[in-house]
Amino acid sequence: MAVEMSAQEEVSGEIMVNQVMAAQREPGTTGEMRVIDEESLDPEFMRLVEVFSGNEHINACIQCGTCSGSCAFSYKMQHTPRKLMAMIRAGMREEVLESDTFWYCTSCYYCSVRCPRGINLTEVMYALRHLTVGKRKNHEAAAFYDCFNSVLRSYGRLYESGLLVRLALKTDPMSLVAYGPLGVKMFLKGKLNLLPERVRALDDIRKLYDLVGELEEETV
Amino acid sequence: MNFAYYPGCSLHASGREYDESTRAVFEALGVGLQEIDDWNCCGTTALPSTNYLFSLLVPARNLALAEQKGQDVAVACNSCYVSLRRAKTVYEGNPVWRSKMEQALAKIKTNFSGKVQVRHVLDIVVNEIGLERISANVKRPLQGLKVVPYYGCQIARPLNEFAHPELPTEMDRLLKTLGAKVLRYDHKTKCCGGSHITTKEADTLGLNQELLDEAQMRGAEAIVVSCPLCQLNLDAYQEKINQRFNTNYQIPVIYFTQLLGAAIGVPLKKLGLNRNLVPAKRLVQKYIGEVI
Repeated sequence: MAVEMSAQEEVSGEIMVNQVMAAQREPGTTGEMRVIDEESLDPEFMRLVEVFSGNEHINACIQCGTCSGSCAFSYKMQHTPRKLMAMIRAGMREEVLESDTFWYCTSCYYCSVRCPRGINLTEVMYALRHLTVGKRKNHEAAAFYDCFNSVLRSYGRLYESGLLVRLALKTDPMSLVAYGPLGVKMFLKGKLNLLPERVRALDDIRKLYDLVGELEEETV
Repeated sequence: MNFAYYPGCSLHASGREYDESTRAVFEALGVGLQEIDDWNCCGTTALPSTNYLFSLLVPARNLALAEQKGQDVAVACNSCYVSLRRAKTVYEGNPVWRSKMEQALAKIKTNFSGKVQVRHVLDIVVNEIGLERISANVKRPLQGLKVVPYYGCQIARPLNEFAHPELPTEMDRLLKTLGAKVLRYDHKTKCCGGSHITTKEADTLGLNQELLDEAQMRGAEAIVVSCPLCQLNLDAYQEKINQRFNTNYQIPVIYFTQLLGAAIGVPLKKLGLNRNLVPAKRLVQKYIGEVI
């Protein structure tokens, strides 16, 4: 969403909604009809999303919009969850994977428990993140998850300080400064570990990670 | 009654008081918790966002460790709860991925049958120990303490077997049993944003401001939680929310196990009440009358 908002405007929900609606009416953004070149569509895409989300029939979506209406962040998304489902079904692989929609998902599962067609949309959002691996843009949320994964393979458990350092090195080193005051408070309350906890069977966890690529390839 | 206890990473760090109070409460009620030896991170929302199969295998290893002991799993963190149950659900219901999981786990010589049950600590307290037994154990009722119960999202959704996915009542009933005055809270299962606080701070602070706003409007003296991520966002970031939204919230965010422990007579120092960033100890002291 190419809308710049000052902090003050962002506080006021009304101004924000108006701006978002205005942005949606701009050509090239949400809400505009256009013709899609059939050649650009991937007929296999929906099936791929189904495999990695454990859903059997994404096709069952009736475009009711319950998912979008239940989502805490649909107003921030480039495409709402409802629209994204239609795009997946159509096979718009590139546009779907380039959108910011699934990076906003908080995994609260509201859409999934409310979907009248029984589609687990949260798993769809995970599947889309999974399918971007290897070609992720500089998305901060993607960097966060990648760093988490690497911390897990280093120690077997989450090491929060280490995660924040790795994330800062990958994105903005100066962001660590902002964590300073809160970090000190947490430390004084005994809520921040300076050293990581390590799992003894770390080799097992790394072995599992090394195995997944091959096993997944057989599935797809 | 004995359980294999899966604390998860948060309870060894930012949610330490949840770990302390859970152990103290279970000990006081005579329910065994044996921490799973050499447990690993559940993967939370991060691993499913990087690799599907890995995100099933990592929690499955923990379940297999519990199975070897023949115990069901007790888990306190909402996010761990979902991650562990998610692995078990896919294993039980999806033959394709089940066979991949079996092949991978066999390579690390780990047997997993999927039979182990995963129970949230709140579920165990309300449905196994039971409110009658809790009621009989209340020594210092929290008479009149005004609270809103905040469940967060992942305790009830998506694999709800013990709580309603949108309007759960378990914590409401428990807190009433302890003598507290439980106020209406329409945001009880709205999302706090979880780990988005790290990468989408402004948006996530907004979600938490709404949660605090309703709590204040209802006149709550405390928000009671069952998840270390919700607790962190509401408690540790409350000051930041005040700065950003020009508000003046001072609402303690307390784990249900801390209040349960206080009411059944566990000494306050065993409940980690000093660790809550928005001071919580004095509020609890006021109602139960214990001076430390």
